[in-house]
Amino acid sequence: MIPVEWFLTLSVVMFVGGLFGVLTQKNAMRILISVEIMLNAANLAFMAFNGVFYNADFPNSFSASDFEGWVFVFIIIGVAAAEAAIGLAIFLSVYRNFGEIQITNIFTLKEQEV
Amino acid sequence: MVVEEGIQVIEDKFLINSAILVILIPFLTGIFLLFLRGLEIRNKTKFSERLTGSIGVAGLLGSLINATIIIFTYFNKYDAKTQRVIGDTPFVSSAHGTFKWGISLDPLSVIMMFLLAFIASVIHFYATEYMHGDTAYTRFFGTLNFFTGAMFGFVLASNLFMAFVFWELLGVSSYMLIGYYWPKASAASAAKKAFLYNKIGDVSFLVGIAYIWQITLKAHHPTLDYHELTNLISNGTISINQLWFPGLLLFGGAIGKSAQLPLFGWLPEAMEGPTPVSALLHSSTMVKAGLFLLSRIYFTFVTVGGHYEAFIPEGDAALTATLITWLGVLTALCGALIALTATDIKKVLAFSTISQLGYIGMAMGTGQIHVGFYHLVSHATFKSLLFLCAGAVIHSVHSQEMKDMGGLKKYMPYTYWTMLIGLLGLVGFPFITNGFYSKDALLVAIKNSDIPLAGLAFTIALITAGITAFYSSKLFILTFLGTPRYDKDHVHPHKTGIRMRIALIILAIAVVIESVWWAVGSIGGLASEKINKSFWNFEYRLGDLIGIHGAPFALIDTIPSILAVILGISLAFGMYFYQIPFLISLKEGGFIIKLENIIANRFGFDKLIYVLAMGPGMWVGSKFRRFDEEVIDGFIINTVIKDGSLKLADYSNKLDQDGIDGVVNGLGDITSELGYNLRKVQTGQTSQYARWMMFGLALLLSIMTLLYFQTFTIK
Repeated sequence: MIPVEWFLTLSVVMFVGGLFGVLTQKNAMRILISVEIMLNAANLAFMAFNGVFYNADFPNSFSASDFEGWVFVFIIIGVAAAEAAIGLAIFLSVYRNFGEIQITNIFTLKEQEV
Repeated sequence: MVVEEGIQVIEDKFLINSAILVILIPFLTGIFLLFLRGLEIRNKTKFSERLTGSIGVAGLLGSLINATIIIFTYFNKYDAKTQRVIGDTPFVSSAHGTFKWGISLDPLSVIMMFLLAFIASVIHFYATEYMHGDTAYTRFFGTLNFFTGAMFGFVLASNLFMAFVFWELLGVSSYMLIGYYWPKASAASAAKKAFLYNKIGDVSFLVGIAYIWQITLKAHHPTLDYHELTNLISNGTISINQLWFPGLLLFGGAIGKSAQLPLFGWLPEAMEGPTPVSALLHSSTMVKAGLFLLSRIYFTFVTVGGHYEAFIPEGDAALTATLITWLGVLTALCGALIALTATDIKKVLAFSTISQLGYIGMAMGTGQIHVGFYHLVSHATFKSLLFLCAGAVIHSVHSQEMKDMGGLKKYMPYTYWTMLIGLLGLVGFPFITNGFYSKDALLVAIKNSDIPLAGLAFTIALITAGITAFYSSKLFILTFLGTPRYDKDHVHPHKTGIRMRIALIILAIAVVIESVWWAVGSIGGLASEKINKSFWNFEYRLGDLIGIHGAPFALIDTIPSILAVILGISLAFGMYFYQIPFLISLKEGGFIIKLENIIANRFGFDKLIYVLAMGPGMWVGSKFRRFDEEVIDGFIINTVIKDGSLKLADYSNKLDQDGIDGVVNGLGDITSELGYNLRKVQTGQTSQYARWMMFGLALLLSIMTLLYFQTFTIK
């Protein structure tokens, strides 16, 4: 059986990579993809811990607590889907207005010089 | 000493309410009319004379009806000698005592009230025609009703406090009436003069009231009620030796109001008012108020003996009575002498009023209150008639000077006859007039009194009677007899108007009734004791009711006055009607002319008062003025108040700007600065925000981790 540390290590690698992407990338699409990676890192951690705390004494009987981690994963997948849909819609709208989606060039909400 | 023993105080709601109506009806109609006048001025319109005149007369008629009810009920239902109807309510209470507000119905007030209601009603009726066409018709009736109401209040008042309040109301409304034609400078100054002269008396009156209050307070029975004061005297709680000085002060008030020497100067000037006002002023209101006051407070200056004989007290206490009597005698003489020289018909009557008031005051001073009151009633009736007649004459020839009249008998027969009746009363024509009997009673009273130099006083009073006959005849001859002297091209004497004529006739009838009444009482009293003790003998009956008896009427006493009157009349007729050369040469003698000048200057009393007022008065005034300018204006106003408040304002300005504004502005500045600097945080770079978010999240997580370790692991 693969030890849980490996899963967590992979999860951390994914999360930090996603975070790095979010902080450094200038293209909005890339940032969105990085966010998705971070979410999936969290999913991986949930699933890993669900496996660790799975009740192994009664393999043939299931209780509600056996699927707690799954519930979170499903919610996160739902949220990620919604987020992606909204994010893409926003990007589309931004692209129509500004002709690009480079976030460093879009700062009209910034306080103008007085 | 016991006079009021057995006097019973009755509570009769009906009579008291009627008496309140007597006061209130003229008062309220007066105020209502003045309110209408206000509307007139605001809307620049004029209500019809018929409306306002009717309201004015109706007010007085209401009083007259109530007064009639009261006089009949009171004298029929109650024994006026021992029973008084008094209704009092507390007005101002204090720990020491209570000022009351109430009505007292006793013989004097009831008779006076009825007389006033009657005469005032007739005068009001007369005025509706006399004042016809006047621009301020409404104001006239408003003030006149107010004035009469004030007099009713004074007459019916049960205590000195209430009397004083109405006394002052009388003063102020007489001011308004005398100054009725205020655009005329002389009228305005006459009103001012009347008010100021009266004010001197008022101050004296007020001090007298305070004095009496103090005396009764010390005697542990604080009261200002006439009735209770009489009780206090009769049961010996306070004595006349304490009361004579306050009595003198109260008499000071009467001097002002009743135009006694030396404050008589305002009364002739008061002729500036319309004639109905003069008639009311001189007959039963203003000038009679002072004498009525004397008859109310007689216990302060005379002692009334057990056998109903009023006598002047011994020692210092005699001073007040002596002063009242002698001032009365001198006023009578001076008034009559000045009336001789007056050329204005109304002024003659005015001075004759002063003279008659002196007579009445003289009788009251000797303690013969009922005699004074007797003449007061006669005088009120014929003097109001005389003034109304004079008004009719003036209305007709448009002049007040007697030199512009003459021969009016042909044009004004009614006025001629009524004036004749009035003048006969004033003269005291033997046996057929009311004036004769009341004046005779006065002369007897002064003759029998125990004041110092009573004989001299009697002689002066007798001479005055002669002079009265002389100037009255002169007035009559110059006005009605002889040849017309008015400007025939412009003046066309007309008959007196119908309403004025009715008023004259009513008053003339009243004089005739009084004459008959007095004559039956006096002459009949000689014949039968029954008549003498009945109500026919007004003098005796009144004295009986208020507990004073004088000498009875006797034919022998009348002889001097008859002689004086006949002498006066014949001299006047000889001089002015038949124009006997010898008498005319007498009149035009150098000495007489000099004397006339002195008299026409009113013996210098006015000048004296003027000098007194101008000299010390102006000196005191100038000192006050300097005090005002230098101390009050200079120091207090300029230095303390002006500079002080400027400085204070300066300081508070500083406090406001530096302190309060500073704090408020400072807070605003800080907030604004903070906001200005904080907005630079917003760069618009999304990745930067994300970085800050990560940083914040990391920080939060590390703190939570640390806390987690602290709470769970270490424990």
